[in-house]
Amino acid sequence: MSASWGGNSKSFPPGVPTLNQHRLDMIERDVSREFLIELVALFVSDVALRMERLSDAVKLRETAKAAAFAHALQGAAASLGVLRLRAVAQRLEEAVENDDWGASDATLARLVSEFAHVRTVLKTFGEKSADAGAPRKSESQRAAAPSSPPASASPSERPTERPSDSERP
Amino acid sequence: MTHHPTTPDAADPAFEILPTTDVVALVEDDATTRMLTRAWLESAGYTVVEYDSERAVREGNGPAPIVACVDLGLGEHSGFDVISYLRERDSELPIIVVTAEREVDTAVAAMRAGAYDYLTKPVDRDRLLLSVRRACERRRLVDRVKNLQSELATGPLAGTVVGAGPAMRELSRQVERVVESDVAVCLLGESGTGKELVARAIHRGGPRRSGQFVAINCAAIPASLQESELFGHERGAFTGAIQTRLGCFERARGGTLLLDEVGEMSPATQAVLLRTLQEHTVRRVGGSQEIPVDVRIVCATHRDLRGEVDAGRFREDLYFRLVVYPIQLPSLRNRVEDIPALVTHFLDKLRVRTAHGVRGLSAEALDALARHAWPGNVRELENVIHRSVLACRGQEIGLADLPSDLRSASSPGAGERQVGDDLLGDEDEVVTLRELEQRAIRKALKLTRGSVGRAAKLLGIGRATLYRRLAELDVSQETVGRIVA
Repeated sequence: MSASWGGNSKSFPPGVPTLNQHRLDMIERDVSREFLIELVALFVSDVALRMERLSDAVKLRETAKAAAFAHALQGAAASLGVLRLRAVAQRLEEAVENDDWGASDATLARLVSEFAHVRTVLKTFGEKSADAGAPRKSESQRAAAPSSPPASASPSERPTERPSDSERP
Repeated sequence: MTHHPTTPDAADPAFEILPTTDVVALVEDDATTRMLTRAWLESAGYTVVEYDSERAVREGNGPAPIVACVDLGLGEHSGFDVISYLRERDSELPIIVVTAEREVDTAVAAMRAGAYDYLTKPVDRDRLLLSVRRACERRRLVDRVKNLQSELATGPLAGTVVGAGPAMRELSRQVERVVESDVAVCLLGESGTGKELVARAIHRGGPRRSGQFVAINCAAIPASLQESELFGHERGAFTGAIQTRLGCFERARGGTLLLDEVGEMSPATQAVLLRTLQEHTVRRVGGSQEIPVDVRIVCATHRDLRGEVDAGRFREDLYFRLVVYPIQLPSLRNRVEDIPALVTHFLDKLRVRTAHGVRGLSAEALDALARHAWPGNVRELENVIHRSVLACRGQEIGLADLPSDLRSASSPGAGERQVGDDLLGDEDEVVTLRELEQRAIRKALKLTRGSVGRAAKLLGIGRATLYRRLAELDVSQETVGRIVA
């Protein structure tokens, strides 16, 4: 099973979009646009650091450390709604815990690639947001959530975020 | 940096209360989650003290929190260590644990270890704020009860009754007025409200404390034996009277006599009692000698004694002798704020007898107790706690451990029935429709502890309608606060 999750398959993991656009919208609504931009910047720098540590731990075959770093990555990604990165990190944690280092290496490569993609998407988001004349949603955001639900709908009523292969790197 | 909500949503349940300055400790090692959680809490008016590790918690010297949110997956250190440490510092601190979806078993273990609530990641803002708000309310209630208990610790009811809410403080004040004198006190209250306990407190607190306290339940003694029990009998006074026996009056000489359920006394005994109270002497059944007695009389009844007089079942002259200073004991449903303290008291009492390991009640179980009508009052509560302890398999009594009638009482339908209770006042009282509406709203707010959303639901109207009616009826935020208090 783990082998089918590795590599550069564009459907990996199947059905999971890059971002949970609804969550980002909620954060912006509940706090502020400026805050969301700060939060995104923090996420990117924090995860970049964690990725380095995680890569080292996987390379050194340190099961406990690698699993803990992969687990922590999921928490950060979940908070911001970075869904696919979270899913890949979860898969990596499972592979590490099973001492399946072949799958771990492949999934780590996928994680690095996914993070690069997330960075691009979120960078575009930040740049557009910083522009005073920019529309409320960046192009990348619209790509992540092709059909935004009505503001009045409860989270359970909202459509699940769709994968947007067009935005894949 | 403090971030305020761009558009506070009035319909949002998390914004039902005004912003507070309550301090929330946030223990989270992930920077993104910490920043987001902090912003949500601050946007709701909380002051946040954040820690990124167990060590930071131990070394921290920030303001004392009234609620803590603890991530159970704190790097290499277990969140359980943080929970233990926080609990050592403040045994009443409500702790909300945050855990990954896959670690629900861990969350259950944390709940068993005394956590107040648990949230799964990614944390939902509304769920977080609701949980924190409830935890704050619970903490404030516990603190208030403790403060008031310390106030009561020096009053005449100290060590006698449990509870420190407004009703019990008023009772304490009333008792304080009568302990030193011999004034005839009549304790009025439903069955199970603690009338005998208060009578004993009056005896112990007054100058007759060195004398005997004797209690007689008039309802438990057949009419034919009431005279003999109260006034004694001489040997041979009737068949079976093989020796002279002292009655309650003589046994209580120099002390206090409690005439419990005095409304059940037979007319013949009422006549003899009246003469005894007038003359301060008793004559044993079958005797001819008048024996002086110096007794303080305290009577108690669950009946409307004035109504019994009007109905011709109780002598009016005796009524005026006995009811010089009536004291109304509050029913349990009118002092639900004392339920947590009573539960703790009964659990401690049972622990001595049964060595059970139950530490407390879950929030849901406590809510169910607060909603119950308690026709049997404190006695019924003690019975319920005893049964629940026997049913409980863990350290905390949950909703499922409560008797079925209490579980069903926790449904919204039961709340609707309670809103209708005693709204119409006395039988011969006619209230205006405006007053009736005001009473219904006040009652619903009291039952829901000020939650406008839930009160509106109980009343069968929308939240906006209730806000409008509150404004039209001039019910301010302060008034709502007083109603809840």
